[in-house]
Amino acid sequence: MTKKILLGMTLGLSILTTNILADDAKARAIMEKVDAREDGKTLEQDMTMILIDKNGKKRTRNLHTYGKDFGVDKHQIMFFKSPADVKNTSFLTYDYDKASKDDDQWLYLPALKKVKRIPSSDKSSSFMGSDFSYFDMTDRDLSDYDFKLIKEIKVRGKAAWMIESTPRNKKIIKESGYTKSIAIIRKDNYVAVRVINFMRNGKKKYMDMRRLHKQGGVWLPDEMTMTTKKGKRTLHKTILKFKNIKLNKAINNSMFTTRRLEKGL
Amino acid sequence: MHAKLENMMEKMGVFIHDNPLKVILVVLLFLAMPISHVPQIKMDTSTEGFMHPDDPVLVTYNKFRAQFGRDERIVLALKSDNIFSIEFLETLRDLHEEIEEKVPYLDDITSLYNVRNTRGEGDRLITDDLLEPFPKNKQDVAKIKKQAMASHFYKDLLLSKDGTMTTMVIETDAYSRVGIKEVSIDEGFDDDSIDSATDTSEAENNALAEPVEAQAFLTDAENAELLKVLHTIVDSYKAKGMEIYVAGSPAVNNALKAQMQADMQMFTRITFIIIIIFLFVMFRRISAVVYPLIVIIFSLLATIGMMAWTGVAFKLPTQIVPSLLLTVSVGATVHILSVFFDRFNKTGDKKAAMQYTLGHSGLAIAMTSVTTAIGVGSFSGSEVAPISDMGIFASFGVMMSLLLTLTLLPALLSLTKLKPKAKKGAGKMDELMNILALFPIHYYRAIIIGAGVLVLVALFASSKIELSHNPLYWFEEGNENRVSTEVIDENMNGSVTIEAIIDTGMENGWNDPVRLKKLNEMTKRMEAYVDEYTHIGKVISIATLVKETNRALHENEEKYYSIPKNANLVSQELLLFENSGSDDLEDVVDSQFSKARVTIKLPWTDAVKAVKVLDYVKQEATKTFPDEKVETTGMIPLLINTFANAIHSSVVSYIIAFILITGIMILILGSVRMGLLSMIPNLTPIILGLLLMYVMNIPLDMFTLLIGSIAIGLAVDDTIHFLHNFRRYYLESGDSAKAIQMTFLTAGKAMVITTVVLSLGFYAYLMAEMISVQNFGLLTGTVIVFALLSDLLLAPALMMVAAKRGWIK
Repeated sequence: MTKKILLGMTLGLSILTTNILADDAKARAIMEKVDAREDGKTLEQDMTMILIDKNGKKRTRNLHTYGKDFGVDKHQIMFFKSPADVKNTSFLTYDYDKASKDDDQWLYLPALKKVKRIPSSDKSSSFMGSDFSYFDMTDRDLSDYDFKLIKEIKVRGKAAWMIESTPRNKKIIKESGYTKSIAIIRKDNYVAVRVINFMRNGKKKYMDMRRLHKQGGVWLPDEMTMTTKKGKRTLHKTILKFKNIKLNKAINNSMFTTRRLEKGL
Repeated sequence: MHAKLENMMEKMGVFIHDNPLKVILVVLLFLAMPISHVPQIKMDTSTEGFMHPDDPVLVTYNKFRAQFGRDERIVLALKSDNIFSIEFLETLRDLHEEIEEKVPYLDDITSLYNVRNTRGEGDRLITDDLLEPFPKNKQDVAKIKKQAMASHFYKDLLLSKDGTMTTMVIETDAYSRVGIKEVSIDEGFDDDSIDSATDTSEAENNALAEPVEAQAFLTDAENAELLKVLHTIVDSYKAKGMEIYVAGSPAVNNALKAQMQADMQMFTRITFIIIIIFLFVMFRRISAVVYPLIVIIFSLLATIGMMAWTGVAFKLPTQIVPSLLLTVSVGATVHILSVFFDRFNKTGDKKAAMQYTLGHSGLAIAMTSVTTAIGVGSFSGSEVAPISDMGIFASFGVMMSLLLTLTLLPALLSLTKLKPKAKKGAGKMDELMNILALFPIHYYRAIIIGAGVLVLVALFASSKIELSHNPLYWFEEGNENRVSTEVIDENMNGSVTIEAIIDTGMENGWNDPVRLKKLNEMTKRMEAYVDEYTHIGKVISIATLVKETNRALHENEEKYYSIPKNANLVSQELLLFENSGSDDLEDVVDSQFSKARVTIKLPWTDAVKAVKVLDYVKQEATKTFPDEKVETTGMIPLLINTFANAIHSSVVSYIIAFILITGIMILILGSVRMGLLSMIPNLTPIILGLLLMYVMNIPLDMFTLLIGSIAIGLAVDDTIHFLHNFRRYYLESGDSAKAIQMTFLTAGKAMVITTVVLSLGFYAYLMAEMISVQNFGLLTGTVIVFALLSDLLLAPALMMVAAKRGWIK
């Protein structure tokens, strides 16, 4: 009996140690700084979403968005401005920090004149039909991953770290849709300017933050792309462009209500 | 003319006897070029391989695959009376996850575990997967059961009507990974110049518009690899007591090709061994075994090398070529050996025997080879690419075999130290031939009348043989593949699909509620289709998805399972769907909403008989959408087109072959009347073969049609050998009975030996796994026997009559 316990302990310990060894303290320290980076209290901006399919055909959507931090939780509301047939279609999202609590989302379809609640636990789903998923738009929980510093490189002339993150269990893989990610973090500002996300069926999603600027001490993207590829073949691509960015402007809490959804812009 | 040619042949015999090494050297040099290319031969067992690359049907199909991915899906069906129990659903989840994780080239897998379950519950719109969150107790399961059984979308797709069968639908990659290098982590971003300046965005927006380099579609080998892994996983679950069936065209066609190839390869080897044994028994000489084999192998290698040299791949129909060359080469070499050893054993003079043999049989062998080459060559005109290749290269191979039989074989015999053997076994054979000769001499009338009656009966029976092409029935009853497809077809209303593309030619064409409504109504009409051979089981399109979303937005009220009238609502519902986490939208419409895909599911159907349903789908879609561009495609329509075409064009090839052969017979025999008369023993074995097919219930499909090319070759060979010899002896003696006897003792003996060897070789195929391969053996073996009987009974009987009337000059 004691033997069994001992065996169990050694086994358990060895698993624990391999886990610890897989994680790289320096990489984790970098990621902690990325996570702690100041990103503002509120954000209002225009978003242009360009969807490009494998044949190079484009579709463009324009949205206006508001976001606000409520403690550790985040609320966001988005209104479609164009194309005309979906104008004033809007989404309201409560993104909870607590992993156990699923996000809340409401939707308003003007043609139906009804607000619908969309409870969802699936974060891997597409954000408004783009290559970005809801998961891509929210912060990762660092305790879910092992990090490893692969190498130091330069991106667009800036020194950066290349860090690999591996989910610690299957549940996280299922939730995010990614088996592994490689992020490129700029050394000067701790912004993940590029990310390669590996998916199960051999697809990869490449995030590229092409332009960013500093405003009120906060780094904000002006333009980013997400390209879904299989091998060298591009399956689909999304370009997000941000304009009229207003950081830390006061936004009333009533903005983040279902009544506001119905009212439109 | 004949005499001159025979004289030349005799001289050639003398020359070869005196210069064997020179002859061998020249022949080897000649063979070196094609044979050196053998290692480059490519195998192509794909269905697309049946079509010319610029065939519009294939072009449409490739366009479809590039847009929507591979249409062929593997269907995995799980049967259980307790599908809705935690235990079963857990097993389903495990199986689903294991397949997702381990199976290569997998693009998507859909089962009850992850299927979209868009529904309304009060003011909530739920877009989760069906088993998300995973049920924890009986109440959860009961709720899921209720939802699943009520779903229009799941019915016949993922769940049988009675709820005792559920499926996993596996979509594979459309493109091959052959030659595709893994993209390293440093590349892959559009902007490869990692060190480049900061702002390059605008210039890159158009980067995607660049044409993507052409890439090969998933290969048969990759498909086979995928299925191998899948079957291993499935078997481990079956071992745990699960009842699982695997079907769908990728699985069925893979099993079909693998089993066919395994059978054909194994039995070609067995045939070789049987031929070796019987050649030895007949001749009792090692040389009589080894030399024919050298001729067979060299002509086969030269043919394959020639294919490789000209860049033609070895495809399914060309698999028949080795068997054809085998029969032709055995026939030709046995005739040479038989005459040569008879003469040599008598005289002991090798040179004289060689001279005599080539003079006596050389011309006949050349004529048989030329007619066979023309017979199979008539297939070269086929519109179906590999059948045309088969025609070209089989006739090349036959000519190669002729060349080697007349040069290499005598040269090798000249080099070999031979001792004349006293007659022993051969004497008995002569006695037998003498007895056999008595039948046509004495009973020629009865034979002609009997044959006439048989032919009439056979012609009547053959008119009842239907054209068909159903490879599923090539598997034996009870075979796993056949049973799986039958079980799934019965429970799920089908396992294969036809795809229709309706192109509006404009952006957002499918946001139009009027058009969607027309599509919805067409779908309903199609689902009601039934003909005498098959029916349509289910139709899926963008209309399905819009109806489902519309109902979910209206608290799941059944009356809202319809297309909304408001155009903006359609657009907003589609936007909602895009946002819902399901990527099913890209399966039914292109990203511009201009092209809609309609997937029509039906049970596995005979290719020839499915033409009707395919025509119906085309007509219905064109009628409903006269202003849009309608195309039907998919692997099954491709198969239907290919085989329907192939069968019809083969029938045409046969007609051409017979006309050409009649012409040659007229030329060879120097008389129209005799030429036409010779077609009677030529055609009789083939017509009797059709009778056999009728009796044995063998359909006239692609495979049996190809067998006919071998049958023609053999039937004609025997007739030419018989008539050629008979004519010579008759003109010498003026006595038809004596001429028959003489012919039986020379060519007749060789014909009997050839027939025994070859028919036994082909009857070995009866032990094969596949019914089609068994039929191949049975038909070929029996037609060979029929051909011999026809030329030992009918041909001499006819010659008795012809001689009496003074037709032979």
